[in-house]
Amino acid sequence: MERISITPRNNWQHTVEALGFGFHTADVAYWDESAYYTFSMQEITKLETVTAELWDMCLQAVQYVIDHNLFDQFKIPQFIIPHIIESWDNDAPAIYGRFDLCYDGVGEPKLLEFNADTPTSLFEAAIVQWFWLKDFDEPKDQFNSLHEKLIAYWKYLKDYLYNDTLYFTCVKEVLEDFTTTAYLQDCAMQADITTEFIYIEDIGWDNDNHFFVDLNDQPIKNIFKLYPYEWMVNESFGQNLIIDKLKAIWIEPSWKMILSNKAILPVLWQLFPYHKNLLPAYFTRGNLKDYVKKPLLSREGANITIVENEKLLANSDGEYGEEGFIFQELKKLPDFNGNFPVIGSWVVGQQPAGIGIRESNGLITDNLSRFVPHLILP
Amino acid sequence: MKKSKAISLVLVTGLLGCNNHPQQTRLYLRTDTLENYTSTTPGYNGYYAFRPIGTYYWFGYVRQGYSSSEVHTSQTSISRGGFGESGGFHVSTSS
Repeated sequence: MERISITPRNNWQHTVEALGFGFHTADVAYWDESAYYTFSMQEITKLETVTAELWDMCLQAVQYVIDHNLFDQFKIPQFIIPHIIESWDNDAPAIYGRFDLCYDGVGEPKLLEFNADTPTSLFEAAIVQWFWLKDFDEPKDQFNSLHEKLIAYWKYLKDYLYNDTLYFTCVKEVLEDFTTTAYLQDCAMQADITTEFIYIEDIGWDNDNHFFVDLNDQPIKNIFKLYPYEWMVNESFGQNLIIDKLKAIWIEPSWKMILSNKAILPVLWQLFPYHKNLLPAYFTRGNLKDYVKKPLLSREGANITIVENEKLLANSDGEYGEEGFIFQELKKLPDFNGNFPVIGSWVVGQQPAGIGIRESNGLITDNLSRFVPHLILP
Repeated sequence: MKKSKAISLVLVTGLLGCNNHPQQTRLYLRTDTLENYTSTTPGYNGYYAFRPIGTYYWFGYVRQGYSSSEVHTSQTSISRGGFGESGGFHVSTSS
């Protein structure tokens, strides 16, 4: 694994915008093709193998949490627990997830966290970096079968949906979220699924008949949401999830609330102690001297505290932490001349499907991190 | 790993991409200027602007969906705006 500095393509902004990638630059560049990472096939095979194993372990952990009624440790509201269990028992459709891994190409990849409910950077990983490779060095390969696997898995899931429209929803006024959602809708359309888009603020509730409706007051039976469950269950319609007479299929399913919660990290460590791809993690700090304190629920690297030798190394502000924290042994991200990459390793359906790399200038990968493409050396 | 076929995007490029695709014409954009709902009171009986989100392609129109605003809701039993209340947050690239 190496980081190679290069000159970006001429007018790369126009090139990526032509793909539909409109959020390549915020205050600073988000899409960064002034560098790329290289991997050997052995390294990619390792990432793929580890991703498959972590996914299998996560499924076992969900069953464990349900069997031992550990929801309180996750601070999951009581009212939604039956919905979670039902979605698990019914094997409700799920489409994707992203493991964030610490990996330097030498040691074992270590799981930092699992973005199981609303993982983004999907469009960048599946499409933008692929077309970058075609321009930059087409004969080379990339760990990236996201697009094909998304279409294939939507086709597979079609039989598990109600014979009705599949809605796609996200919040208004956020281009990143809209692009990710539109991309997933695109893949579903290519899988011959009838789809519609509706902003989440526009979703209606039929108070007489007790089901969700679209803007034509038509019932919603299948819906993909790019909107976190932990927000949904605390909003006005949250309680409606459990009284919905149509029992709409929500994708991702509510059992993903277990995996998207940082409390899964101590549970995994308890179930698979000293596993080579896990870091020690606990609900209390215990004897840890070098650790990362993470809120159970947080985004954009917010409210993270990194302590080394009992001294504060880095921290980030934010509005999370109300539900509590977990403590994970510190594993510093590899340092490539001041650039600190995190490997986002995707699962589509039940299979590893590719990686996307976000790098930052420090140990905390936050909302100013950059997406950097990669390729595989022959 | 390698993709064996050319990738085609039915929806995204037409909806969000540049107008450099001669076979695709972007007609409708997001209605981002709309304000959020402020009430979920049953019995809301308003008029909302109502615009389809979609794209014309060389083979025809692909309707992606609808966005709100002056949809005339004749039923009085529909509440809206009960999701999406967590204002100030978005899912973001880092989640």
